[in-house]
Amino acid sequence: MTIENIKEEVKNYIKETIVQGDSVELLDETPLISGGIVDSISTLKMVDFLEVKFGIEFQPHEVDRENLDTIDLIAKFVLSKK
Amino acid sequence: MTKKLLDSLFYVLFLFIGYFIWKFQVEKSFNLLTIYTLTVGFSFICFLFNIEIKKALPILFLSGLFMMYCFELKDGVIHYHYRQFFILLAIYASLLCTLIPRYPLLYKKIAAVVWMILIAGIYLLKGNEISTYRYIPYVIGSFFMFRTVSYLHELKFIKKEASVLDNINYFLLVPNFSLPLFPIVDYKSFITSYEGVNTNTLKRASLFVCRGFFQLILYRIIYHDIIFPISEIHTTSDVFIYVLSNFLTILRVIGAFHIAIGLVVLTGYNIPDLFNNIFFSTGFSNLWRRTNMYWKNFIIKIFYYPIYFKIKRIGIYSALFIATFICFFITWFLHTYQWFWIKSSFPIELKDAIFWGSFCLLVAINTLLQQKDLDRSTPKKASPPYDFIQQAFYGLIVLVVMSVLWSIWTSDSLYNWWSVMTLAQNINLHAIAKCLYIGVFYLCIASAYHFYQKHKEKKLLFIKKNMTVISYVGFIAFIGGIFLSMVIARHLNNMYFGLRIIPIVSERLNKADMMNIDNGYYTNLISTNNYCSQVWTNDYDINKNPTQYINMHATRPTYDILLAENIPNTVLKFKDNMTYSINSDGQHDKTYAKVKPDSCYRIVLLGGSYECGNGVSDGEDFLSKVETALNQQYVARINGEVKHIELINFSVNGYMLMQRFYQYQDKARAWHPDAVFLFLHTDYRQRITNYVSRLVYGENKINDPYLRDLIAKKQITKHDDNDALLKKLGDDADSINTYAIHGISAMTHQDNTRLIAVFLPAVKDIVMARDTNFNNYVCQRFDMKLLSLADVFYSQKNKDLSLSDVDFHPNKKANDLIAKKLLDNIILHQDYLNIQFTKK
Repeated sequence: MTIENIKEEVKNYIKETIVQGDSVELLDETPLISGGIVDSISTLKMVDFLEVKFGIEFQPHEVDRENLDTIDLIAKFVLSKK
Repeated sequence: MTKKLLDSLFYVLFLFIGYFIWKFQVEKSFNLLTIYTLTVGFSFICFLFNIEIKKALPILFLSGLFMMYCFELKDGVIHYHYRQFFILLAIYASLLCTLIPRYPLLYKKIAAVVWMILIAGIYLLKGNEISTYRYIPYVIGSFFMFRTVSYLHELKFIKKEASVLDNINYFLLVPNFSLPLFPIVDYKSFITSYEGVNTNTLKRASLFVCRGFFQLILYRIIYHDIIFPISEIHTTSDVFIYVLSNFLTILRVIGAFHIAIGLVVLTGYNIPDLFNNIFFSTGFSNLWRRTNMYWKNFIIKIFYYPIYFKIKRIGIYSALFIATFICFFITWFLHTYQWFWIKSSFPIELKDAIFWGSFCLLVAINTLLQQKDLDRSTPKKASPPYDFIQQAFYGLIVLVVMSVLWSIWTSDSLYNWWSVMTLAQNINLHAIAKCLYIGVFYLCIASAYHFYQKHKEKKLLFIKKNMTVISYVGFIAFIGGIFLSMVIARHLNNMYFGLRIIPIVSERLNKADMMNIDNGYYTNLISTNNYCSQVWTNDYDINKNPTQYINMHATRPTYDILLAENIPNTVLKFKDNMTYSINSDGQHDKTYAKVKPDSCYRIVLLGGSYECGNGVSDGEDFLSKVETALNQQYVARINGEVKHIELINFSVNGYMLMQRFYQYQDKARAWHPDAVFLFLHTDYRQRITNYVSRLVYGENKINDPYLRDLIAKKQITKHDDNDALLKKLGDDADSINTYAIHGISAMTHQDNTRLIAVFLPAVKDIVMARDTNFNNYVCQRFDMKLLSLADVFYSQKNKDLSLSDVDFHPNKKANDLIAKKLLDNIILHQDYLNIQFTKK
């Protein structure tokens, strides 16, 4: 699975379950947590999705802006865990 | 160069704000001006000479430490306390050594725990002396209590360890000196946020400081103009306003935090925002996300995520719910933990559980409903055009519910809270209209806010782009408005100026708190564990409030009508070699022979804390001075026989008229006085209510039949607070006082002793209304002579006469004034005592 595939999957997930039709432009660098698009609960749901979808396991300290603030960061993090 | 010149304009703004902080005495009790001036000055020097501020910050810390704990300007003379400075410095250095170097994490954790136990040990060792070092644990505690936790947590996972300098700067945040209740700055966010002093940090810092200042002034307006004493609550709208205004006092914490964060940003560390317009929340979970985001992130990172990951197997929603619940419990505990380090109290009460438990449930339910709603609706419907009004409406509900919860949390007891709430039953059209008016007012403002949030990217882009300029202009207009009000009020009506404007531009207590302090309500720090109360003050310097200390250490309970008595042979030592002594007979006075010598004219004094001379050293209280002056400057004769004058002080801290009556009957009378000076003040109705409340609440033995019957007749219970008692007692409050004076009068009449009333006004705020009708009435009724010292403080400034901002007892200057006035009165009315005084 390439980084682009992962980005696509994550983007679709965010669009369908978090943003849901709001007119938010989702770019690879759009700040998700610091920009207020994803709150702490949605973050946990997204973590759940990433774990199931990509077969990885998160540690509590990894649920962090450093790893999850943009689609780009998420994709890189997922790839590093695989 | 031009850029630098433009950036330097920010410092001009900081200079102006510094002036306002000085002028308006913002957080004066915490010496904010000192720390503000130091930080701004230091930042400016670094900016001017292109010094990398990060490297120079330890110097700022040392300057702060020196200015706060070594340097003291008193009566125009500079005093240095080097020992305190070096002790604190040594403790800081040792703490940093155990935390900073690259030791294994386990060692650091052990070191941190050992340090905390040691400091907590110092905390709990309370001697019989007010030590100038007593504040040390408070200072250390407020610096390290949370940052150590965040630091040790992050060390486990951090990929690249920060520099030693960053670590030092993290622990030694200078604004913490004047704001012991400090936001929990996240370690990782801090060390990655350094930018140095540049346009961005200067702009953000100035906006934070302006916002903080604005919020603190707004808090004052609410505190002085909107909050009123419980006794003045009568209808639904009163309850509504009372509850809402109490919640709004959270502005004090928000404002102080914004100034603190602004000062940190000014030192180059561009840390994130802290609050996000909490009064415009659209739900309870939204409120939790907007309120003190540093705290929320701390809880989530350290506790929430680890708990959630441990239990997530049980299902995402169940895990979320349980983790939320546990985290609120932890939040409750940590608030109490915080108070332990700042005030050495560990308050755990049912009302805390109700507040945090209810808030937790509301947040958890709100979150789950939102999530389930999200899960159901795919795709989400487009938001309706007027949803900003709906959001404002939700905000109003959140505000009202939170205000009610807040009123529980900050109340004295659940019983008292409920007795206030029951007054909401008194509903009338006027009250409904008032509530509606407030609600609509909020809806308009909140709708405008949500409208802006919704359209700022498209329709209102111009406002968004110029928000910074709008903020500066708004701030200047706000300050200008206050100054203008001052000028207009001063010219139009001086009384209005005194009552309305002065409380806003200076740090002082409102009517409710003044009454409470007057009654010794806060003596045992019952209700001061409240973040937002103006009474909440740091106890770094307990010397500021000697009365509290004297009450705790120089008196003991009697479990009867006296409530307390002086402990014989007590000597309390304060700083500056000041002493407060009780002799072997339990009098705050020198020792006298109980058997009166023939050559002596003996006057016994019945009074309370004013007459005890709290806050001035033995011999410097006005009564000792009058006694010395009468004997040294005058010759006293009765029928030609020379007499030595004795003024024996039977006053005890906190004694009201009823206690003075029994003090005279049980103790002073046996000393066979020739005259009795009964000191009278004002507000006796309020004072006696407080006395009865303490008497009943403490289940003391009421050995006076009149008082016992009255308490039974009025159905007074220990659950009644002062205001409820005042209502129950009604005019009988005055009757109790009259009864007490009648008792003293009857005894003195029987013994052929002269009873003289001495009216001594309180060193009080001009806001307090005073009336002396009661004093005049009892003097006439019991044929007492009156020595009136009513104009003793005439043309003086009140702040020059009180011990401190939190202790309104007369200071040395006030005692000197009273002594002179009383002496003049005694000489002028020497016939009252039947003595002829001639000057030596």
